[in-house]
Amino acid sequence: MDEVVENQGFAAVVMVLSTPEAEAICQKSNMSVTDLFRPFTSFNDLNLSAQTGGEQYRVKTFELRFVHAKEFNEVPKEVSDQHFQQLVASHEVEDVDLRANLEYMSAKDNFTTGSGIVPDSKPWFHDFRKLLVESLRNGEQCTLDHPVACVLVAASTQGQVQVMNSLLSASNQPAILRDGLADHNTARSYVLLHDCSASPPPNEKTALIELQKAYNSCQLIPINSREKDAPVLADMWTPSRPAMLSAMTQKGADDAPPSAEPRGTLLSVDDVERVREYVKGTLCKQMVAHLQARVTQLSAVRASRQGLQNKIRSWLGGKKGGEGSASPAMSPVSAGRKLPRYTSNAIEAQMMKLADYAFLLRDYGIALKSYRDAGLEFKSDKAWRHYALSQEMAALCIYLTDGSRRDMDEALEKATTSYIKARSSNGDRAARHATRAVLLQMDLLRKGGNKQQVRERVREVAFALVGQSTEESNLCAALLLEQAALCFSSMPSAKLRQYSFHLILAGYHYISCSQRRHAVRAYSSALGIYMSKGWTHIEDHIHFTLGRNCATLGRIETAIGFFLRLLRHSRQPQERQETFMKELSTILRANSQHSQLPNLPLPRFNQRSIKVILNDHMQVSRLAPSDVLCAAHPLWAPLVKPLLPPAEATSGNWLTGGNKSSTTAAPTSICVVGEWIYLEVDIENPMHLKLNITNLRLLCSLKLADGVTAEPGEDPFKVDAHEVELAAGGRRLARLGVCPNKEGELRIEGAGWTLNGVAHSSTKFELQGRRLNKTKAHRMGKMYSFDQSLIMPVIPPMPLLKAEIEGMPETMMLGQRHRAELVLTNVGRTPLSSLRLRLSQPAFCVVGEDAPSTSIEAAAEQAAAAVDGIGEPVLLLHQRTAVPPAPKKDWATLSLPLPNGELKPGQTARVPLWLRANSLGAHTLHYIFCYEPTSPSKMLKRRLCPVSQKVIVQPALAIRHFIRRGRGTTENPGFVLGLTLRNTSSGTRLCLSQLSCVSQSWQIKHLCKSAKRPEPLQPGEDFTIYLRVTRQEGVPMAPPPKPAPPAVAAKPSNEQPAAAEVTITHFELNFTGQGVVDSRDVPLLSFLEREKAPRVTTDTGNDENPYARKPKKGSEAEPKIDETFSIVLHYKDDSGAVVGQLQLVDLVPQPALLPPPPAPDKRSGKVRPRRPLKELDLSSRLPSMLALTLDCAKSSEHSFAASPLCTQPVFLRVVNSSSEIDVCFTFEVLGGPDRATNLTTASAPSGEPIWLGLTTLSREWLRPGEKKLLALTAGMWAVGKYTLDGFRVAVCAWRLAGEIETSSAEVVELEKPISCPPPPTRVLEIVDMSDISD
Amino acid sequence: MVLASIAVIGKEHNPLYIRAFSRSQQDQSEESLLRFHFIVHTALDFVEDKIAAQRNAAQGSSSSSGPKLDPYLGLLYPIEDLRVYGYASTSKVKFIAVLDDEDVKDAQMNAFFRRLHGLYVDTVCNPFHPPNTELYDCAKFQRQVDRLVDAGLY
Repeated sequence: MDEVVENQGFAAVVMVLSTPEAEAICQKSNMSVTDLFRPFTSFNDLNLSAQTGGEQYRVKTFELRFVHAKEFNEVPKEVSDQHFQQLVASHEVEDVDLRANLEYMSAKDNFTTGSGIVPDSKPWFHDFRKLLVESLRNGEQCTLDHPVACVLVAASTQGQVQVMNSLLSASNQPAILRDGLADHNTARSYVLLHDCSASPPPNEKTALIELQKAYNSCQLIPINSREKDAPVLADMWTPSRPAMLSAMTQKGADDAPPSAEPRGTLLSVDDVERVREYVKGTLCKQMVAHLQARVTQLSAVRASRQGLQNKIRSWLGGKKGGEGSASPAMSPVSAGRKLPRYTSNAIEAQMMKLADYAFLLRDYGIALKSYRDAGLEFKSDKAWRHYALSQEMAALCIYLTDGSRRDMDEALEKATTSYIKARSSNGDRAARHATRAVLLQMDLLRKGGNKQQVRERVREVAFALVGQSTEESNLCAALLLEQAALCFSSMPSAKLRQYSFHLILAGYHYISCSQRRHAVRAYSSALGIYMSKGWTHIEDHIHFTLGRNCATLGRIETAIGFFLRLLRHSRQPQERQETFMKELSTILRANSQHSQLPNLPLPRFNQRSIKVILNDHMQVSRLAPSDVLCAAHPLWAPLVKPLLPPAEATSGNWLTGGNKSSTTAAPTSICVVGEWIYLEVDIENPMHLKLNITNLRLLCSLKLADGVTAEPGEDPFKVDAHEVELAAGGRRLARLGVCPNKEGELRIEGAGWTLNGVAHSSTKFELQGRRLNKTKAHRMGKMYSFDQSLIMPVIPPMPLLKAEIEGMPETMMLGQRHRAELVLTNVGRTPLSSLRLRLSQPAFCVVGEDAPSTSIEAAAEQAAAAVDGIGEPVLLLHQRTAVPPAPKKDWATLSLPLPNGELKPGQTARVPLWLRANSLGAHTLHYIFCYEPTSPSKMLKRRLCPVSQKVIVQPALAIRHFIRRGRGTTENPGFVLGLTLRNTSSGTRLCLSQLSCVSQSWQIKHLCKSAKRPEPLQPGEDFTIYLRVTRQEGVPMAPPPKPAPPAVAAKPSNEQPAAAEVTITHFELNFTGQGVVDSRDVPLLSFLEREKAPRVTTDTGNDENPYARKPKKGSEAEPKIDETFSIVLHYKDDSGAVVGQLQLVDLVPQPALLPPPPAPDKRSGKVRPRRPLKELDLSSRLPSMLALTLDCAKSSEHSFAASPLCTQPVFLRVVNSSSEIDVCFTFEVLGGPDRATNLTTASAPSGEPIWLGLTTLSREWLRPGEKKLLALTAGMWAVGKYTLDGFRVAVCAWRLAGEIETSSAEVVELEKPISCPPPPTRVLEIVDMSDISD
Repeated sequence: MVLASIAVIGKEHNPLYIRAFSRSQQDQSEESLLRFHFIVHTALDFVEDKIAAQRNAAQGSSSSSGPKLDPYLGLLYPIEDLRVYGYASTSKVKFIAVLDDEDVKDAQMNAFFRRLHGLYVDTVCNPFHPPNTELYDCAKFQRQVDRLVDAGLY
């Protein structure tokens, strides 16, 4: 039989009526009488002849359905729904491989797209359809469910005819027969059951004598004849029972309660065969014959109905009068609405019956015609359910007769819409009929036409299914939607989006009816379509739904997997993320065994930010402020390089090749047993929620070195745990530590943490080295070298220096001295030695030198011993000599002595550290210690310990100074040093207590004896002091720079050692008369020496090439007197807490005129010529090169009576005080000869004298240090005091000294002679002696 | 015509902008927005169908001047009480409008889509706008869309 028809479950209904005794016999085999017949319903080998209208034909197949008289009830919708639920739930969903879905396989691969046919429905869908058909049985309009035949069963022991008659009484009959809806005219068959287990079977003929007299068709069936030793038959009765039997059965019926025991235990093969033979041989024949007769009969009725008279009657409205009295009874049940109810003798019912009988007899032509006719009637009655059924059946008939596809579609559409119409008036049951019609439509499309047509119509079916789903209960809707989704996926161009959408809808409906497993299946099937295409909103929804439902189903691992995907997204709004986190936390709390989440994406670790911080290198410490010294600091290299041996410090060049020691050196990261190393990593919270991270720690592994054994229970390393709270979207730098306890190889694998107290997770650290670029493969793909900074060897214990600075002030005043202490402790396990230190700003610090032990009082007494009292109150001037220190090139590096040359573990050394604020501003002083273990290790030869300190230097006293030529002898010209001090501090009263001058060749003196002692200066006040600077006795003037004479170099041994010759003199000028400070002491002199010590900058050391040729020594040994002097101003505040020294160094009273000669060219060895002399702007300084002095008597007596003109010799001494140049000067008397002649005695007594004798001198050259005595004659006309002036000495040219011999001597002529400053004024008093002489 | 939602879909069928409009606050819940996401995503199937149909028709009629496609795709499909309209630019950017179930003239819809297309073009012409990215951050586009929808400027 056609599958489509089979799906609809059409069969001729046989009503079974049985006596209690007959039931009792069957009950022995644990079944009812109806059950006995139920397995035998379909026969394909009947070969019965039939004739309904036209030609005779053979009926080969025939379908029966046995229904007990009490089983003709409609199944309530709730019951059927319940059954559907059970059915769907009972189907084990094949455990959807969610992992495969998580891998996001391309959705298209999963479907047979374009293959044409709707993919096979899910297995439970087939069962659902069967159940659906079953649940819709016995509806009022379902005339096919009316009995066609009736089997009356009694026990063989009973009084037969009466019993049979009593069975036919109305009380035993179903409601449809009682109400007259079904036809009473059915085929009847009488069966006597004999219980063989109680008595042997009687003779059939004798047993049936009585019955056969009354009825034609009667049969004796002996059952329960199984021998005890015969095998029990397989239970074929239970599967053939309708699933909803109990619901169909009339309430109060004594149906056997469902039993777990198998049915048919007492039946033998013969029994079964006898029943089958009865059904096939007797009953089927009888029914076909009956149906045939009824069809003929009803056809005649229909023919009469089609007469003209009836037609007119029907037009006039007098319908329903087919057979006179028979008019459709109006349903008494439907209050309000009058629904037509067709009794069996109504013409419409008869036409339906004709159609049904013809359909059962496979005469689809008559059936179609009758259905159509009946349909017209129903339509005019607005009996929509009847009409819909007739259309549904008509469509089926069209299909079976290969009729027009269009007609079929039309009929089905009408059926569906009519059912829906009926739904409004008849509850949801009609909607379920519509569902059946839609499913029929799906079947018909599948079976009819070629593949192409099928595929094109699938779309219509899909939409019909979707439309119908809105009318249905959740479960049916879900099934329909899923079916629709399958239809979409099988279209010519697969509509995957619609497929997925409808799957999601189906999943939603599944969830609504608590079918979670099916919901998960539907959702996960749809997931692939939405994944990774930007539809994050939908993705999140699906992930969340899947996660939640999987958790409910107990598939925690899968659920967590979905939640983790949600968290990875992290773009959702805050409320949704809160929901996700809450749900995940709940799941994890309830299932703590699953709280280990290896792939938790929260928080995010920025792998690129990972840095390992070692004790030696302070590799990175981004936690610390930027001014803390670490390997990334720009000053690190210039500070560290000089501390390393040259072989390690340099990396070689192209000629020498790479430095072997650096290339073959051990990995840069080395850790030491018992020392903590730290790893810094950025952690980020991508969510809009606050995250609590606890137990954040490093995950490490330690491979023990050979020969090292770990004791059981002893951890090879320690880690520290942290708690971090990350704000929404926040970022933190975490510093995680590990401390190895054993030697070996430490590997930092990753980090572990606990999120919000519920989820434990870990991440792996994978560092990338630089990108590779050697081969083509490297260039094409992105390949990175392996970074092994997370793998480090652990070496045996080493010394570890801990350096601290005690007593370091935060702020200092400019020049302030302060004593702090370096506290050096060896916190390692082995002693350390060779401690060296390098400073970033050597001018600020003096390390390791301590002040003399003598107290201040003692020093003061000592100073007082050599008091040279000056003025009132006393100014103390003290002079001491000292040996100048050897010039030191590098003040920044020094080595620190240790007690016994080493610092033992736990030992502390305190080293004095003098600080002096050398310059204004905020400074960071970096100290880096370099030390070596006493037993050196191959891996780690030396260690470093950086310390940084910040200090802010505030202004104290601002100094301005000038040096001017003072009055002195021409050979020893004096200079005046003016010092102006201004208190620029922000509120401290400062007092200048002492002034020191340190020089090899100069000394200071007070300018005058009545010099004032400086008062304490309030902020803003200033004070000026003038001092005389003169050359020390016995120190010759510096010789002019000339090329070194060979004699000096050749005979150094003949002379005394230079160092012994040169002494340095300290002059102290104390203003307070107490607390004289010796400027030779530490740290005063030390700071003076370091005043110009350069600070270490990033460029330091870069230009030092170890391979460069070193300059020849020898010339440096020549003793050289320093022509400079330094001034140290000692100040203190009122309380004496702030003590400082301000320094002026390299003061030159007589600065060199010319720049120093350039160094010889390295390559050619030639001396480059000096810059052209003309470029040197000496015009301003040239006049002062000539020192002028006038010599003459103070007073003179002259007898004007004897001679009106008094002449007096005057000597003008001109000295070239320069040491470098020859100067050419001119001399002239101002006014010239005119002045001399024009002047008369009328001149003022204090007037100017006239110059006689030598009045002009042109171009006189003076060598350096040479003097010229000009003999002048002054003439006076009268008595009086004469100021000797009125002449001019001017410089007109100059040349470099010593070049006069060479022809290349270049004489620089000045455009205009420049006048020299006049000599100190001399006054000549002329006394008249005329009277005396007279 | 009452707009329930509009959407701009990128070349790769990725959502660039999906916005739901509703009169009541309740309708602006996440679920309502999710519903429109589903509706718009499903509409893409119909967009593809319509474009394919247009192309077939154009090839059938005249092949000399090349197929001339109308960017306005008309009604794509009805769903529940909504109707979904579509418009596809030549650069394969798609505009979807979801309307409450009312009859709308095609000319009106066409004009609306043209305006929306114009706004989109103005936005992506900004040299600082990365191509093929979401438009939620484009304040101007949002504002213009609001004006277009609120004032009924179509």
